[in-house]
Amino acid sequence: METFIQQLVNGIVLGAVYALVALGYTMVYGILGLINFAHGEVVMIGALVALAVIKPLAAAGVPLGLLLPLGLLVAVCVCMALGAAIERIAYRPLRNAPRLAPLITAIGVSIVLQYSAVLIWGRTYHAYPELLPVTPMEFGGARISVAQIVIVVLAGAVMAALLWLVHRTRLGRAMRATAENPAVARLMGVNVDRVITATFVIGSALGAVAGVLVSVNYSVAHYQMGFMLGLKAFTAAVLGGIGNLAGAMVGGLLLGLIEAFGAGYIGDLTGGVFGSNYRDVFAFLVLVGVLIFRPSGLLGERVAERA
Amino acid sequence: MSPRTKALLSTAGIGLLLAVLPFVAGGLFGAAWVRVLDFVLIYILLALGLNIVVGYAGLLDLGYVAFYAVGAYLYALFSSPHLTEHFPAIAAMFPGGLHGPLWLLLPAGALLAGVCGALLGAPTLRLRGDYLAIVTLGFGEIVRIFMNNLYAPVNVTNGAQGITQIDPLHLGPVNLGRGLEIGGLHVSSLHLYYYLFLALVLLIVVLSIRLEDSRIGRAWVAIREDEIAAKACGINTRNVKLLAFAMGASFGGVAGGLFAGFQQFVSPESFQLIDSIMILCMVVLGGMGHIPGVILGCIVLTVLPEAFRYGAGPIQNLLFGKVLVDPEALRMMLFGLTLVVVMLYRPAGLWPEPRRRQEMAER
Amino acid sequence: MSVLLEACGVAKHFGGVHALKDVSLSIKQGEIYGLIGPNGAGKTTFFNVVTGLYAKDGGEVLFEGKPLPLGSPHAVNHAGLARTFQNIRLFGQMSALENVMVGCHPRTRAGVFGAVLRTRSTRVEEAAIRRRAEELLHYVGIAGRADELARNLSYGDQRRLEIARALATEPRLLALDEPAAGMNATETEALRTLIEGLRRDGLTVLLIEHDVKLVMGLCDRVAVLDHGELIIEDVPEVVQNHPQVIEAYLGDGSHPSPAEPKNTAPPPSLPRRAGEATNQPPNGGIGVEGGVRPLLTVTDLTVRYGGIAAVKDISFAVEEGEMVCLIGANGAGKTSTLKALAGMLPCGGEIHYAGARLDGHAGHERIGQGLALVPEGRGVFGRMSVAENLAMGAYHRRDGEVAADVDMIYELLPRLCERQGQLAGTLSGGEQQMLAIGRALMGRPRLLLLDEPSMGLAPIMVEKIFELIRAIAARGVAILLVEQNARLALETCSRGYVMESGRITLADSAANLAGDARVRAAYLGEAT
Repeated sequence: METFIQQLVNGIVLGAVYALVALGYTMVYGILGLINFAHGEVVMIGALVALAVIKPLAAAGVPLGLLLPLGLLVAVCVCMALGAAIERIAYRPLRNAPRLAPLITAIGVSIVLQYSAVLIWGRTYHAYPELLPVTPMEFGGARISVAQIVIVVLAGAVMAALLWLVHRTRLGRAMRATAENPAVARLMGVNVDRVITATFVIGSALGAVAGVLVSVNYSVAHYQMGFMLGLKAFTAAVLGGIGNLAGAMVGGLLLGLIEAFGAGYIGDLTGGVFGSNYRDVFAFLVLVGVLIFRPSGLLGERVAERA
Repeated sequence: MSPRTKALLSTAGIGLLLAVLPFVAGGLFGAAWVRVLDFVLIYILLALGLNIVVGYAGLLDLGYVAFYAVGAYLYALFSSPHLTEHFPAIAAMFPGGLHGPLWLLLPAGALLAGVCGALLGAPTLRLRGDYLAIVTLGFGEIVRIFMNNLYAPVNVTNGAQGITQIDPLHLGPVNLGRGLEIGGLHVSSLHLYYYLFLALVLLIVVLSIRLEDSRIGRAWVAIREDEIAAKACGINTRNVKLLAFAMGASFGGVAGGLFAGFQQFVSPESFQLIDSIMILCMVVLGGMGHIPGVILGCIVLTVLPEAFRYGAGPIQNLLFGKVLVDPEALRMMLFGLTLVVVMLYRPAGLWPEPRRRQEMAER
Repeated sequence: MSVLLEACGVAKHFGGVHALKDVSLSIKQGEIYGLIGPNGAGKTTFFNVVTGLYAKDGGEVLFEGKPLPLGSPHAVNHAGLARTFQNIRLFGQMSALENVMVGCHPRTRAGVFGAVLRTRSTRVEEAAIRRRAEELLHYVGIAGRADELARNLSYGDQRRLEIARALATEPRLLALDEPAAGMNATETEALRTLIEGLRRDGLTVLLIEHDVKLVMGLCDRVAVLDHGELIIEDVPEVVQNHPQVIEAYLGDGSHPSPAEPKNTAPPPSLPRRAGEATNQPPNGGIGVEGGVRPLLTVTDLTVRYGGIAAVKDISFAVEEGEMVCLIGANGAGKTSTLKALAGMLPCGGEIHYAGARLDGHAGHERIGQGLALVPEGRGVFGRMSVAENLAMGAYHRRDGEVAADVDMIYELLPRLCERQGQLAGTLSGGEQQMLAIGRALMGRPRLLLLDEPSMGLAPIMVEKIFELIRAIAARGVAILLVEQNARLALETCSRGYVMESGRITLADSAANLAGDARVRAAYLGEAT
């Protein structure tokens, strides 16, 4: 039972981060029908930029409570610019090109980002300063840290803000209209190019927040962190139904839980043949399973293929 | 000169060039470059296999390296002491150790990889473009994770340590790992591998050309161009796609076997997503579906990073007197930039099919 | 004659929309069988079900007495039923010859090993495939273009190539989906000869076609679909005079229609430039009052898709507050014209609107200039509510009167008011059309472009939509209407243009056009 509650907590924390990153994928996919391969690297850059801001500030004696907000702010701004740049460089010129071309440019951009990070920050694992108390407290048999609570609350708040933006503002309406039918949205006077840029920018901002949060949680940041995280978040987006915001949130949470419980119980279930070192397999098994049995995802609508 | 003699002469010229290339490269730049050439040839084998899947049939496969791994591990397991060391039963059966012959292991690797391709393809091929890419990517990662972890409780792959002491490739009595004395002339191991790989590449090129210009090849291209119309033309798209997957995978299996014997060491390190991506980039960057383009892509993307590797450090030393930035990182960055720039300016690849080039020119 | 294909109670629905309801018909060996009906009647859906592209939701189809493997297009093809596509689906990167060679796939056998080893049998088969493909190209009359890429062929040749490719699969029944769409008179005539030749060579043909004249002249029997239901299946003479057909397909049959047998009039001379026709320079200034100055002047408009020109150098004008219609067959270039005006397609030529050049403006800027398009198929945002759809219509507006305009729309269309919170995708077709028009009005256009507003709607709904259009015109908004129901369009508008193969071939007052024998024959469905 203790394992259960513990893994539940771990799963929710992990899931919240996956959900944030998954939103970035799902927004871009919803509007362009393309996988933004460089999104995982944006998350990584967010984490490292925040660290680069936090470290000197901490050394200069800025109070602990201000470090996280400042780090987040700078990371979000940098990543927004990055998102806009990625769209401009890797996607816009190739909007009518063969489908594989933007995929390759996005892969190229993500390699450039990864190794720019190596050039700037090196290949070492960077210890994240303890911005929030990570010493756990006992809650009904589970150990929960303040950091974990903050992560879940912050991620929830950001997602609520996103939902508000998409469903209650003029820009959000334009985004939904463009996702549904760009040609008709343009008839309504929507500058579709600008909306697409906005989508990348917002998705990247969410990615930056996720990057900082995940680094705070594991107390470490590193140039390769974006890859696996991005892959799993994409899985979450597919699981929930790609293109669907609520789907990305549900999918993220679910994937976090599946992974936490999978890693927690696989040893017991298989009599020790498989250990928790197989945890990464779960994400992919889920992905493959979903795509084979319900390609539209949990919340996605079935799209009838029309001739 | 008649066109026939012309063609004959140019073939002879290219043949001669290919024959002396390793000596020229080795003489000018050192033995390391002969090794680079060997790798170019392995990559050409891989890329031509992926070209069938992506270039002809238009199926985006991001887990292709898994088939390469299957071929490599098959060869590694059956020509190294690993299995006899960890499984007494096998040791009892083969008291002299396992030394599978090349003529058996290469086709077996091709077959096994082909079967794996068909197994992977069967449930996934009805997915559309990007989804197929992600599922294959997921499969590739699953294979890698298993390679990494299948050492306990039963040690099959030896985990991240990989399998060592693999027999070098043998052709009959000739051990390619040793080199050969022909009338007092020593032909080094790297050169011997070069000729073996070259022969296989030529074979696979011929296979590819023949497939392309056949009923099956036309069906692949038809599916790439318009799947619904292909179905309406009576093509069983599922079977034909499966065939593409299996064919591509089997080329990968052959390349894997060669790689294992050439390196005499395999580990999951060599079979990561980035390797799948690298092979895909060779195909797309060179010119999907166009064999000369794909070969060019392999050469560019193998030689360029190597050149950066050898160039980045010394040039910095020369310019600044010291190594300012991590040469490896610089090399990868330039690689990434190359991908972006080439795709932006030549979305159909460096050397696309003449017809495609025509299409791009019309834009 | 024995029955070749028999459909029994075929049904198909998309979501809640019943595209086909219990359709039963039978095609006899060796006949040319026509399937007609208004746009959205379910013809293509029927076609797609029978050829295996869509899974059916009910019923059965027998082919030579055996059930067709519906849901599996290649198996249907193997059974002996080949098809072409309404929107031409060739393998663009392959040559014409290769396209036909692909068609030989189901009747040949070479596999991977044969291909790799180049065995004797493979080479023999390959040579036979090539020979057969060449013969078929010759048969359809494009042997000279064998090595050209399919995408570079002209429109008519692409249609022929598609037929050759379908023939290569050696079908018993050839199903053609609107083969004459977009063809000019000569091409259509050649097509007719080709189809007659096919029958002479023993093939059975199923033909979906909009060109009523072609269908009536060519087919042995004709079936009419309307709203997914079969109205009648009989010989052309009977079908043509069936009151329900006239009602459903040809619009209101009560309209007086004196027969005009003579059909030898020379082609009309066209107003070369709309500017000349109205004696008004293109930059005539903004004439808000009076309503006689041209609001829209189009000069030499050209639209191309790849190598194919869909609209060729057309010129026309719409005056302030005027109602003008654009009629013509499917594929004549009407929709392309509207899309070009709204900036959805790149085009050549000049568009002057309200005294300014419009063609330099990006698509999203044109609504701000006072020009709104209600696109074909409505284009409502199905996942957004009715109120949000209306808000999108006013997206470009920053003034404070948006709320007042919403109230005005609700007053005009009380149905929408009742459903303002509902997702647009759940509305009925007629309600969606109302919403699409209401949404366009939110942009306060001076010119409203309407593309096929009656498509797929029940007659009573069509009546309501046209009432709405008249009410809008009464408020002083100029209207340019593209409509398949030519009679209704001509009754509603004051002037009309007739388009054929991308050109305007007639321009006159609506009354004169409605009385013109050629218009009556081609678009009002009367026999000549």
